[in-house]
Amino acid sequence: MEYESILLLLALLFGLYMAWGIGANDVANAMATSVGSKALTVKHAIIIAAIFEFLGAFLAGGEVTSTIRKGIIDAGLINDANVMVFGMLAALLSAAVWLTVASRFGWPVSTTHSIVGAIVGFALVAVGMDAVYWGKLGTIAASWVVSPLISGMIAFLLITSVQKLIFERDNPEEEARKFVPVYIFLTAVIIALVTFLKGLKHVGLEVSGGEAVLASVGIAILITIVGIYFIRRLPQAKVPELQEFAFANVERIFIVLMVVTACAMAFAHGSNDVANAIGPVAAIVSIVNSGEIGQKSPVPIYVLLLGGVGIVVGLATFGRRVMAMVGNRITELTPSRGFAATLAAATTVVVASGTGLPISTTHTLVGAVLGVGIARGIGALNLAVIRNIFMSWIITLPVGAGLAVIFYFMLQFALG
Amino acid sequence: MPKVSGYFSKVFGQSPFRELQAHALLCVAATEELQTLFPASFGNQWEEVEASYIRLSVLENQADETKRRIRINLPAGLFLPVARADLLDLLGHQDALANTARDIAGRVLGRKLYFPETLHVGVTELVDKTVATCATVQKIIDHLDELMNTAFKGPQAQNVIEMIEEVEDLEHETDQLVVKVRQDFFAIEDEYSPIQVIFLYRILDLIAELADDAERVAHRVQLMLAK
Repeated sequence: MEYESILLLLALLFGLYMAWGIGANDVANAMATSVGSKALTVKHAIIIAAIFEFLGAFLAGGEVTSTIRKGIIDAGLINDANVMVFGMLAALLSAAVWLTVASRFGWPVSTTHSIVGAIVGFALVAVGMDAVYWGKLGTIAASWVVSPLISGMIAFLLITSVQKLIFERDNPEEEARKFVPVYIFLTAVIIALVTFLKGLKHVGLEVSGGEAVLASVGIAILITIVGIYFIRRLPQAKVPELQEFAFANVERIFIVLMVVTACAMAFAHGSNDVANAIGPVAAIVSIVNSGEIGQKSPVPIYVLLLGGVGIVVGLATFGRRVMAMVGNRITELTPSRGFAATLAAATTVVVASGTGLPISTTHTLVGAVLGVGIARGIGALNLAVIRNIFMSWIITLPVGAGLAVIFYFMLQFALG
Repeated sequence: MPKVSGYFSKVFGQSPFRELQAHALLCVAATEELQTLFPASFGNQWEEVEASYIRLSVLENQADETKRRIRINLPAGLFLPVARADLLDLLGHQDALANTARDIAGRVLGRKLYFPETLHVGVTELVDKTVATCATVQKIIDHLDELMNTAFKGPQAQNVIEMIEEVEDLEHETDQLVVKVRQDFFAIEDEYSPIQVIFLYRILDLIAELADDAERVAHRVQLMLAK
């Protein structure tokens, strides 16, 4: 077999491994609020995740892929194409192995932080301090702090609006039938707009701002109509004498909304996290195909497909079990509160993806859940666990970097 | 092959409210046993009194067990929609309902305390009113988790506030009933053994205390709403 083919094959293999790992473990975190609020069964969550993770990766994953591929390190300083290829292979392997180990021990580790740490680690060893775009890295690191804060704030506002507009009213069920379609429209329009504005150019579709707005609103109206149809189909409850029955009816309506939000979340997760697997693959493919570094070629469609397929396979093999366990562990989340947390996180992630910032979906979701908690909406949150999750990136960066360095030298020894 | 992890779900702790409601149910069920115990003692059916005492003790033990579980699952690192101190305080007062009920039952059984016949109507009324006070408290606790839907505000909170006022009114009525029964008893106490008399007064005090405990639980909920 040709040398280039071996490198390409390795890249695809490692990329698939990484995508599989994301599908097996990380997706369960993204879908946890939907399954935990009992809005979706595990089976439905898997189906939704498979479809929308794939679409997210394919339609809106391009911007983050570019960042991972050429936004963190200055490829121009790397003269030897082999160095870049080995480096990206090492980064992939490092992140994937670290994620596997962390999952095994149940440590909270972010895919995004692993891959960014790994790429920086390889660049430092192979080239030196100059190879890293420190400014851009600073922006990325800042986004890791800012994203949970922003999504927490959005979640707080959303749940407060739900409390004021629906639960505190005299007839909460009637208000829910009125306002839930508005929330569905909001969810759909945000996701569609970001996708049209930022994502589609990577799959070769250019749309202007005006067209994007029109198309997004059109799609959102369509989704809202479908949502209204399902809400209408819910039987109108007899006048409930007890408040708690009234609330149960409200939550039934929110299940429709939660399904839409779960799709949005899977889409957002796909757009952000799949890039962690396929960004390095895209870099390698581009070098191998053109023979030079930093070639301005679009991400090949088949690489995006690879990421999507890897995730779906991960879901089918392991994701199911993880999701079932996660869903069982979260017992106190109602659809209305799950919706607020999930939409806040999905919005934050998809906007970050649109601007090419690789953020951690799970951290963003944790921020959102805290936001609902601050609005006195959740029975109990483990602050110690939350602290651990946020602290974990301090260890993930050096570990990811260290592993990447080891794998880099091993690959250079074996293939170089 | 990775083991299942899904660390995100660990963010969610076990909400204490459902267990708290289970605890309230047990405690109030224990107080309701007094409505069987006193009539049995009025009829001098001491075997029935003992059976009632045993049922009450079982409930009280279960309540203790639940209380212990709630405390264990409430480490300081939990972020709750209400102050942890208020919650633990409420739990303590709620538990006192079952404890006081068992004290009353234990004494009635142990000393075969028999109220003079002229007091039977008054004591029955007093016990019923006290148990009604406790039952209203349980209704309040049943609504606690619902308050999370509205951030402990709005019409649901108003509803709970009204129930708290109801508890206060009921407690006040039990106080008046205790005064009345005491007066009736005072008029005839010379006809009975002094030791018996002292213990009967003590039982009246304990029943009044039961209603006080119920009111304390309601007041803790009031604090949670005030935040």
